[in-house]
Amino acid sequence: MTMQQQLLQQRLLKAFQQEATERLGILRDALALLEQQSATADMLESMYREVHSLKGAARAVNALQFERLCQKLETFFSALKQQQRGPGSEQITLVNQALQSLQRLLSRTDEQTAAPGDSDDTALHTLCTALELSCAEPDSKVSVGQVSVPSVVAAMPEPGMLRVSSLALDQLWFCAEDLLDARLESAELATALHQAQTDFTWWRRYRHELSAALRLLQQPVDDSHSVIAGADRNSMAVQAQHTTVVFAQWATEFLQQWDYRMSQLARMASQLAKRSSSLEATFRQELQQVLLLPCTSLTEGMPAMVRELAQATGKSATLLISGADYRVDKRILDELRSPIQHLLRNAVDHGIESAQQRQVAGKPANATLRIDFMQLSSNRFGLRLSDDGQGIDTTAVRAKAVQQNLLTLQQASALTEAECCRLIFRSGFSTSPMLTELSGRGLGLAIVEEKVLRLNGDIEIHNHPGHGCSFVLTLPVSLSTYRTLLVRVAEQLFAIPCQTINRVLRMPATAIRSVENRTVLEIAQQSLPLWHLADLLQLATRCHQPMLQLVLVETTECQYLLQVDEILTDQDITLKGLGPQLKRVTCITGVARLGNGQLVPVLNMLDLYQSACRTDRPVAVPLPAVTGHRQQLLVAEDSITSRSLMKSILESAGFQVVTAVDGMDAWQALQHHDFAALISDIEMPGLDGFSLTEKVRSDSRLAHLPVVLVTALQSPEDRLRGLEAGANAYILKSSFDQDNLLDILQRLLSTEQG
Amino acid sequence: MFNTDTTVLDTLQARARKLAVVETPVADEPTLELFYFELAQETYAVEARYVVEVLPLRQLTSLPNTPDFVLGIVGVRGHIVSVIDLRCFFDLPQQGLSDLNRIAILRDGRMEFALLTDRTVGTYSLPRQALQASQPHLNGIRREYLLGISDASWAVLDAGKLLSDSRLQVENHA
Repeated sequence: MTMQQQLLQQRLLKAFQQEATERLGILRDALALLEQQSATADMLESMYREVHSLKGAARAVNALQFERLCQKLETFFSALKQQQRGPGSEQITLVNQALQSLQRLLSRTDEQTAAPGDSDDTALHTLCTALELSCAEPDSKVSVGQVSVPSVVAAMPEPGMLRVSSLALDQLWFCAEDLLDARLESAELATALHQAQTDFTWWRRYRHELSAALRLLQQPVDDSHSVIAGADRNSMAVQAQHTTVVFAQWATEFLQQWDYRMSQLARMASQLAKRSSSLEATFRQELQQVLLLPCTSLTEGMPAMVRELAQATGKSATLLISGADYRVDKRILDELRSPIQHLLRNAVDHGIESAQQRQVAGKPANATLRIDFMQLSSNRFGLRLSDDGQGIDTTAVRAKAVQQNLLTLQQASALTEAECCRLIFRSGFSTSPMLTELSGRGLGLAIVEEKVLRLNGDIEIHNHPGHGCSFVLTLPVSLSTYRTLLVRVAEQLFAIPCQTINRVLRMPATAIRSVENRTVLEIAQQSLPLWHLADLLQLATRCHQPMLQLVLVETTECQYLLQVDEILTDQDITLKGLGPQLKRVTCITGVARLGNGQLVPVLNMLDLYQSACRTDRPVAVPLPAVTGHRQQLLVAEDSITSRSLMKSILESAGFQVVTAVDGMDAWQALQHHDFAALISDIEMPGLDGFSLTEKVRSDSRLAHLPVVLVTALQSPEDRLRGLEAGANAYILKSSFDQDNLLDILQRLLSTEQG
Repeated sequence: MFNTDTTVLDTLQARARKLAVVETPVADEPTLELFYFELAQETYAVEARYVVEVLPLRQLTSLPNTPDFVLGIVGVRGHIVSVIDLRCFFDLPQQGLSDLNRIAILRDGRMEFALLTDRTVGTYSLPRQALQASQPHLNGIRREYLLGISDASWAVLDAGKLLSDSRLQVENHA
């Protein structure tokens, strides 16, 4: 076999495995349903088709045993179809065994070993014979139900539909993000070119003066014969003058051309920016549509899972699903899978009773779990997961909470039923007396709640003791409909999920009261606790404002006020995780990317409340704002870390600091504002520190501005060059010391004033 | 003008034979592809196969409630990557100001993060045998992550260990 054939074979095998895994899953789900309710002609037909397609797929990759077993199954279903009867319980067991051995065969196709063990072979043979016999068996009395129930078996793919691997979709989504970068860069380029073009207006202003000067200079050259005596002495000067004039004429023309070319380039760049902006928006929108998948992709495999789980615990349960053709963002469905599986496990393990208990209670021995999908509004949907088990025993929950020291006895008895139900979401809480294999570790439900909140969703419990319990999840249809409020605190941006916000308000600082060492504010006759976001996030203290900017946070768990420095705007975002290294960060749910590419942390309001309850630091009673003139410094530094370090050093020393990312940026800032001193790096792109210093010194307004160069360049020549350029001080980064910097600044600024 | 006398030729050939060294088969010798970078006036290296990308550091977003060694996060083509300052993690004295302009993204199957560097030097291959185990000048926590010392006495860090170490991962519980 050639290399290429081998590769092809591998690809085919992989495709087969993928397809077979899916079809087997569908068959298992269907079988789980057949076990609990009578078969319909539709169901038998679609199971027959699944098996048939499976057989065809197996033949394509030459999986002989797999194909043989499929063929027996096919004959079996075809017989059922013709005889218009459903499978008996023995037959279901048989089909189940067949499906299991198909699964085993499938996992073995990996190893390329075409020859399986003999024992397997005989087992397979027995199974095939049993299936054959079972087809002929006439005494099965199970008839086919006449009412057509919604089938769990997936319909055949619609015409014109494509199967795309979900990984490819994820990659496309990353491409969309990349496109955003490209859009931002092209916009930046357009702005830069536009700026460059406007700079030519300076040139245009001098052009006429220059051409007048050139005409003047040209005259003496023409009249040179009249100055005969000094001809020799002057010939050099005349030559030089001539060269200058010629160059100036050439440069004038050259610049004129560039003026034109620049305007062309600027126009093209701005067109490109516009086009890539609209392309990016369209692409994103279209992709959003592509990413909407039917909820069946979430529930696939779940009916079989429930049946198997129930059997493992000696119970019997069926999962019914409705509304699963509703379409939801794939990324939300992906995130929901493990919480839903957990809720199902929990329902089977704790929710439903054993068959005997159920009979005593007058319920059918077989328990029913349901998952219903409902559209709630244009951008939100509901997922109700219900069981007909015993419901939540709130008395046991209270007792457990007291036993685990989560609550005092009084607190526990004061809880309403609904509040009591919510206790099961507490981390470490489990009423199950022993850890079973399925659940009972007490972390699960806490994680479920966290995941749902992270998706900007909501979870509610409806408990009917003795009759069952249902969890209602309300979730956004698309990840991009995550609405947040952008706030600024300690000069950083944060996003607060709008779902948790009641409203935003401004209150005079004098309204703050202190009650039992807690800061509170009265809103609509209600005293609400108040914290400053900066305190909760342990960020630098801020200046006091006469008017407080407040966000009223309200969730099912808590109600409180958050003070921020500034409330900016509300914005739709796409929530992203923090990457694998930051698995979970207190108070931070994830991160959002704004249109300008900036990343903004999204706050976890429940965490925030919990950490607020732990901190005893109340909002400081407002002091009169510290007035007094603070000197403004300019820091030019291209390294982001050095820049922020210097900024924080200088700010804590009482200066006001403006930063520039390179020499040109600094020069622009110097044009528009007055600074007490300039602190600049030397190695910067564009205009470096030496040239910046020279420019400063040659400007009459700035000639006396103290300039401190901070640099990694260690050589004495560089130092000399810095001093020649006119710097007042030269600090080496390798021996950088903040006291030294502050000391130098103090000296420079005092001489400046004196 | 050259003497083509046979004795001269013989002498030359004899010399050539004497000087000739059998070339050691380079292909068979296991080598390490190393990626070098500077950090706080020292040079470090990691195995190049873990280095996915080297980028200039722009638009860093710092995060509250993270350890000091987590400098913040950056967006790289739609992914969020956290940036780690090894100076803090290794408890190196914070002296001087470094430029810290570049990040090197490390990745294995499961983990991904970026290391903050002053500047990146490049990649070189080093015979595995040339890696020395002695580490006289390294102390503290750095020693644990050391793969060896290169011939130019640069500390070669074990990127696989850095990536899999839970101490470098953040998982707070509420």
